[in-house]
Amino acid sequence: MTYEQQLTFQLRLRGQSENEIAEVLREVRAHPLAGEESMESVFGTAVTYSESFEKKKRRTLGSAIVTIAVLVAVVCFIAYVVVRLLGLGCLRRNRHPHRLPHRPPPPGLGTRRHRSDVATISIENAVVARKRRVPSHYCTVDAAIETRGITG
Amino acid sequence: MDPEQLHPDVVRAAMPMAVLALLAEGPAHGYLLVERLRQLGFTRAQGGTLYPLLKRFEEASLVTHEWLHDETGPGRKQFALTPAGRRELTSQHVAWSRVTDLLNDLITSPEKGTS
Repeated sequence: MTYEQQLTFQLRLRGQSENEIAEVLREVRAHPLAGEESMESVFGTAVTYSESFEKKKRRTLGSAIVTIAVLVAVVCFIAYVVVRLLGLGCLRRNRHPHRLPHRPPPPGLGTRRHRSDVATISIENAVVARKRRVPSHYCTVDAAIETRGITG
Repeated sequence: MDPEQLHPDVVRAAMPMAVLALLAEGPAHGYLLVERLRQLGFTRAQGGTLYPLLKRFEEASLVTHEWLHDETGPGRKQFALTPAGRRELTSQHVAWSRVTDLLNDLITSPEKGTS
């Protein structure tokens, strides 16, 4: 590797911008060398000479994109956690505002489960009507009770 | 060490002011500045110490540069002092004079310095 290549490499390691590196190389090339002088004897080794320039934190486009992506991910995660902790209870309370309040099944229905509370209440009413020997309005439900063998 | 040569510590401390003083005489390129510094007694003056110093001066707006292009060759980078650079030279000169006076007093009359 030539002196200029080594110097370029070392200056990049120190975070110098490409414009600054180009300027340093131009200075090195423009400085006349007398007799037995070499670039290394005039400027020192590439490492030594590069150390006389300030070390900077270099921010490339890729590192900027990664930083922004990480920040966005962290913000999203925090927002998700906050919504889960604070907002979910509120949402749960209002998720099914049309649903009737829970009632325990009547003793005659045992442990059988029905698809909805509305159906449960309808069957319950039909069972009560049958017990009282009054005509039930829930004819279809009545029939369902018959077929499923539910007794009061 | 050759008694005619300046002490390295003194050179390190005096070099910035010497460069500003040379540029106060008129614009100059790097090679010429190195030659002039060597003539003044800064025998170890090299491009490796001068250009980083000039870069720091430029960042502090004490010096500006201009590329001069001859018909052949890579061109020359000519440096010139700014008004801020002149003010900095004056202020450094005052500070250096004070330090010199203090040291002269201390060395010529040690009792006075310790009292």
